[in-house]
Amino acid sequence: MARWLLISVIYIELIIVSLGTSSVAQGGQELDWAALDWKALDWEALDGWELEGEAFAQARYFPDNPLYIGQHSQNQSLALELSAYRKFSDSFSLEFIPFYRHDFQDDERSHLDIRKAYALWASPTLEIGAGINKVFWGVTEAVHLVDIINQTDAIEAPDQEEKLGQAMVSLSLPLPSGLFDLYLMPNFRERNFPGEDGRLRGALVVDTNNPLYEHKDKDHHIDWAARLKQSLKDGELALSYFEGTARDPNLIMPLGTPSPVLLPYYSQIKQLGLEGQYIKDEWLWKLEAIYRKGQPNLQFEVEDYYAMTGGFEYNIYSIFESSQDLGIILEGIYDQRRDNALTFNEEDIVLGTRWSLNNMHSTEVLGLWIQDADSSAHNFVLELSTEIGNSIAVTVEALIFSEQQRNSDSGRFTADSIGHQMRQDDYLQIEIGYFF
Amino acid sequence: MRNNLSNPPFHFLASILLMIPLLVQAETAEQKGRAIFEEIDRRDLNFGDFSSDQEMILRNKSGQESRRIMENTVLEGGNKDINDGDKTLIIFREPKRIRGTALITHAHQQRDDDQWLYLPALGRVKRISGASKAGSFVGSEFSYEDLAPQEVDDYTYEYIGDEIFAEQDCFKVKRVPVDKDSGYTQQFVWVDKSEYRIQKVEFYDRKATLIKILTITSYQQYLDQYWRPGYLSMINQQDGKSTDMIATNYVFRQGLTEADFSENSLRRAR
Repeated sequence: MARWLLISVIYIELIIVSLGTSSVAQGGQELDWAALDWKALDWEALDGWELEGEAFAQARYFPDNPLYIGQHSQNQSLALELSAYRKFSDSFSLEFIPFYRHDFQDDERSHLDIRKAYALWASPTLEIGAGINKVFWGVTEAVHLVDIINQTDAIEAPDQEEKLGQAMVSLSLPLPSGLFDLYLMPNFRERNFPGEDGRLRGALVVDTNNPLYEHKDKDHHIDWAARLKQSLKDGELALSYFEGTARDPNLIMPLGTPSPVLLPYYSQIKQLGLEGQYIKDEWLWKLEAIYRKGQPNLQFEVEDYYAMTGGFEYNIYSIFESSQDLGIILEGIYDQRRDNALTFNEEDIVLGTRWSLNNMHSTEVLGLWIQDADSSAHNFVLELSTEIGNSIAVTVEALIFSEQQRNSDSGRFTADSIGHQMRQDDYLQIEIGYFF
Repeated sequence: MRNNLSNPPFHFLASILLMIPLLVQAETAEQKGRAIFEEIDRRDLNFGDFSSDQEMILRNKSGQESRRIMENTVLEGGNKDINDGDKTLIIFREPKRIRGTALITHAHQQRDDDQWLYLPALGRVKRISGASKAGSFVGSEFSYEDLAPQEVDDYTYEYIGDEIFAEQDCFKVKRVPVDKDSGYTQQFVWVDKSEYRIQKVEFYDRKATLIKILTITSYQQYLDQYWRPGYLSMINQQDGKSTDMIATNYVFRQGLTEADFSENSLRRAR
């Protein structure tokens, strides 16, 4: 609803500007066709809008044989993100960011999303926003437990950093060295999953056309969330609460379907979140913890649980007597449900490095080792990015799943089995981005 | 004679007489050096706030170029409203991959600065370590501390002498950073005598060798008081790399407040 309201606002604005132009044209005795120059018209209508865009060509190569029928050993896709922004006054602005990816192998990965269509009214004492927006909560680097406003755009990248736009009405209240945020979210976004042709999935395809909801209002349940953040002398503290539809669904296998599929099931949850950060010299100490009620676990039994992640980030500047910087992160992850967690990052240790060459091409190398704490399973991610000129960026990424465990000792399907299903999905990816 | 000399009244008189030349000279080299920078500071008081557009051109040894464009906004600290250092907001425009990325720094006099980075692609405000002074600023020859607002107490000073630089009569002052996180052991600074503007800085790295030379030109005066540079050239003396910075569109006193430099304002920085 809010989305259409906002698009209407932009549309009306365009009409007003065009009308202004054409009334000038009709002011003469006869209609002056030269005054209706289309280029001039477009320019007038877009005057004041900041227009930008990004286009990406991405190719993935999977060296290992696919495990499941329909999967390919390589993948190509194109993506486009456009951005229009206009500031109408010091306090009022509109922003519109559509995104589209076309995937040549996996239909499910071809998707359109409105990342933002947001109207913001901001004053020094109050901020009110309406529309589709992206909000990030959290402090840690490897997993984001507290972050819950936006649905994960799971088919974009396995690191779960990409998010789908979320419709909301929001209110922000600046406090003395703090901030209070309140969000009402009327429209739930389902998580997307790879289709039959896609890699990085389990044995069964998730049927995203037939989602199940705990609540009778389904995807129109009004979720709400609040967060109170306080800056301290050497750190930050935030407390948050969310009540509504879980962003991460349980996947259940219905009986009696002609071919076995998984259906996403979205439960109603209540979640309390805590974020803490302490800064001392080059050290950043971080902690995120959640307590969640109301969601079934992997065995589909409702299990209230807590989960936490924390560690440190340490930066060394000017390594090797050069201008290069090295950042190191070490984080632990613990989910009380352990084997019954809905994620294979249930009990892990993460070691990461960011090596910035600080050269003129802004070359960076990222390495991330995610080690399962109760088995030898691990993931390894290596990412190299560099810029060519001011408008082109190239990213090379490798992801390796290693020694993924099939089952626990008892032979049940466990959190770690999720990773085991993707054991053949190591990949090498190259992406070229053009920014305009 | 000996007795006379050692009697108390004579001692007193002698010490008074000995002090006269000291009182006339008034300043040691340390005091004079510091006084020059106190005068620079005094002349820049009460600017309130200002913003400017900055373009950096990075060059490597083989002459390859790369460009960074950003908007820089500064709120004066230490005034009636803010009992602390300056606050700055930098919004990046180029390279386009990082456009919209914004950095807020709250400078502090007695402890590390507070810094927040806004990453627009993730919608994330990330706290970063303010101890990163010596690190390169977006791959340029400028480090964070080269661009940070300067406080008088950030250094100890020693006046070296007078020198002509760029046809201007200058003070030459040696200054030593107080902060252990600084990337420098010492700097030589040339300040013109007529308007107290920094004309040239020689930077010595932690091994006490000359690493960089900064020359500042194209100064313009704003509001009939505040001098701001139009052109800064930083040349690395060891690896042949250089960065030119061109600053334009200075606007003073837009009536900015602390709220414009808060974490919340970062999220809507454009």
